[in-house]
Amino acid sequence: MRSNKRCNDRWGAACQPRAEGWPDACLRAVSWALLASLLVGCQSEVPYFRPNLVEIEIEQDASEPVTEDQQRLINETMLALFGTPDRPANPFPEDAQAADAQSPLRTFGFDVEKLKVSAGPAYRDAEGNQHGLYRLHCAHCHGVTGGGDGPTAAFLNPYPRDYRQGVFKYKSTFGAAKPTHEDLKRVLVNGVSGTSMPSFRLLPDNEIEALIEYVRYLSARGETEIKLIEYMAAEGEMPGSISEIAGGFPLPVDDEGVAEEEPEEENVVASVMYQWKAAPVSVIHPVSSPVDFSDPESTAMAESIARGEKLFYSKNLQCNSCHGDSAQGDGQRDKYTVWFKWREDLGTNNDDQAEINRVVHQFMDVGALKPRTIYPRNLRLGVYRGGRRPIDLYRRIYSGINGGPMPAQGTVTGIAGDEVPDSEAGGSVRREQIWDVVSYVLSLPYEPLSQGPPQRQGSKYTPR
Amino acid sequence: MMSKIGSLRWCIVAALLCGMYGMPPSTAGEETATLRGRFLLEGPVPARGKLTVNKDRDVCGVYDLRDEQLVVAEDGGIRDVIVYARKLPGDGSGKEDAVLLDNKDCRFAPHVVAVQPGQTLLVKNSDPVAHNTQISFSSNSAFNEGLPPSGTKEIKLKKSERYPVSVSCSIHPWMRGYLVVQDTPYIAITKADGTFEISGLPVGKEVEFQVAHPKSKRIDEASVGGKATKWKRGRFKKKMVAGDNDLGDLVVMPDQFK
Ligand code: HEC
Ligand code: HEC
Repeated sequence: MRSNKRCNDRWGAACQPRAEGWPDACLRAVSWALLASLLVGCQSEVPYFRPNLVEIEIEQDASEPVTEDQQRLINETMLALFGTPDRPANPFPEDAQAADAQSPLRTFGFDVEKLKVSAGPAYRDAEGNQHGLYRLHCAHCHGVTGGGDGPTAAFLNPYPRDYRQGVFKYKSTFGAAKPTHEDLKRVLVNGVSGTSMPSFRLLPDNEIEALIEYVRYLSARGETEIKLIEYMAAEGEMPGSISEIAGGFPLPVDDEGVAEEEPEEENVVASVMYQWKAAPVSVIHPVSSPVDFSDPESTAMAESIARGEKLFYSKNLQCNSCHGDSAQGDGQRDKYTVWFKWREDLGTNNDDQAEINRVVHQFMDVGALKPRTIYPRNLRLGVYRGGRRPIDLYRRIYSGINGGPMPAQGTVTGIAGDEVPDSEAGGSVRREQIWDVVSYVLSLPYEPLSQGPPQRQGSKYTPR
Repeated sequence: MMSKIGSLRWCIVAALLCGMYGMPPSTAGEETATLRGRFLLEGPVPARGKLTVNKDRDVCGVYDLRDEQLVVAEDGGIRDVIVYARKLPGDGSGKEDAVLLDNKDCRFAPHVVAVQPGQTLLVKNSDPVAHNTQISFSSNSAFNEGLPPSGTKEIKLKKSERYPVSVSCSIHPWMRGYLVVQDTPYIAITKADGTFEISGLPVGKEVEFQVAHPKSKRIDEASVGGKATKWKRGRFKKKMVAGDNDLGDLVVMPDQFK
């Protein structure tokens, strides 16, 4: 284990100094390091899924310590359910075909063939097909386990996504619902503007598809592990046998293809997969827009921007309280996201520096990245991580940004667009007004800052 | 802290209450049991720091907002200790009533709220500024929605939560409350004087109780009637007798809240 980690660090060292400037060079460095390490030195040290020690720390703080035996039991269960980084869900590979036929992953609705192309070491086969896509393109940032803690991660801001919480930000679905297949595809093809997450537009479609499947796999795997740790710390035992933990899948569905009932808590994997399967039900369909975004010079647009400005500073929305009075993202910078829930739990007002240091050390010792607060976006730059189409911004404002402080202004009842009347849709504002806020946000990069903060007719409460 | 006066007063209160409950159970209806007790903190009363009000100061700055992570009365009574019966769902009555979580004077009122799965949690904003309600559920789906002045939200949860989950307002980072989601009507949160009471419990049955607190999650050690007692995972079992089941003073050491 130990030497394996050192081996990992070595690729990291090759990669770090160049990572931000030349991701491609870095990719190559990593794959060469990988190849080299396979040939010399590291043969016996196959990359492994790292146990989520941070979660163990969180849970045993809340309840009983997780013993070594209990930890081993969790690891063995994870192995049986999900396999290894080289062999997804194929823990007993003596007879490859027999093992595949009863692969637990197939039961959960994963396309095992796609997973196989993404998993394992990177190489090109005789027909020229690329294998090991995830380790080639993603692992140095997102980590082999998908913990967002690859060798380059500590040097990036924002940190790469830790998939294991099952929380994604830039998606079309409401609230904490999982992203749809299309959402993940958009992230991979476009990248995340303004961050180090690159675009993979140049990869062939089948490789993108294989990677999407692998992200879902790592995420479901990570979420399962978290739930097992939670259960173990609280109850001192596993929620059930391996097949009970897996639970049945596919679930019985109704006419619209939606699973009728959520699986029981003990059926951990099925519960997680249920959330993924249910994602399309939560897609936000906007009400029709009162303005035509293809004509930014129109009077209608100017009026919409003016209405949007009022809303932005209104006491109903108070966007400025986080994004700042000049929308430069400087209104509030002391919150943490769910990825640092252990730090957020210490409280924003905690001035017990000794306690904070103790806890930060406790968690960094088991592999957590240094906690960072989240900054609201500087809306003067016109860089939108979740996409720059008006509909992307509508969804961001309607649903907030999952995992962090930015709140939803809509509610789950109103996601069905014009089908649901505004009187029933709930939310902080009428949905048509969200389009006005979109107009205003899109106009901000062009509005001269030198004019000072705009008149805040709606708000009596923000200091001027 | 375990002052004579404190316990004396408790005796009187208990005597009064016992008197009430000691009355012959009404001829009709079934007999039920009541669990009661008082949580006290050993040692000095911890100071409650002033919260930094860095937003909407003209509205929120006028209140003397204090840290509510561990609120202890002069005589040691611990507020916000949560006691509930495990695996005792009740008959579903009482679930029709909504439970209120107000945003008032730039704090969550009350600080700790208990709700059952399927019951409505009504979140309300009584302040003249926008709030938002972010709840970091672990079994249910995370929630973070804006709440304009005089706005309300109705939330219905599907599942129980293993621990009290934190409720925060991301606009006002000092605001913090807790939500307990348990599938049982037999639940109590200690009042400012540290006392709690769970009534209507089934008689003659051994009931397992969970003791929790937002700061420590679990309380697993206390001195009960002067006797040091360990509650593994914060749980204890007790056979309920008809009428009063008084645990007396439950004295907790400060290291439980570290
Ligand atoms: C150079 C580092 C880097 C590489 C390489 C990289 N990512 Fe990312 N990725 C990031 C960062 C940083 C974020 C977080 C962006 C944010 O939080 O706004 C991210 C976010 C994501 C997200 C989450 C998007 C959301 O909606 O929350 C997914 C999915 C993802 N990456 C998949 C991949 C896949 C698949 C690959 C390989 C094909 C990959 N990434 C390669 C840095 C990287
Ligand atoms: C409680 C604080 C808070 C409030 C209130 C808030 N935001 Fe945000 N907003 C954030 C944070 C934090 C981010 C960055 C999130 C991230 O990077 O994960 C953000 C990001 C954004 C983005 C960037 C989206 C992207 O794709 O990059 C937009 C646009 C935005 N906010 C608009 C608004 C509007 C409009 C309102 C008012 C309706 C609003 N915000 C209210 C905190 C807030």
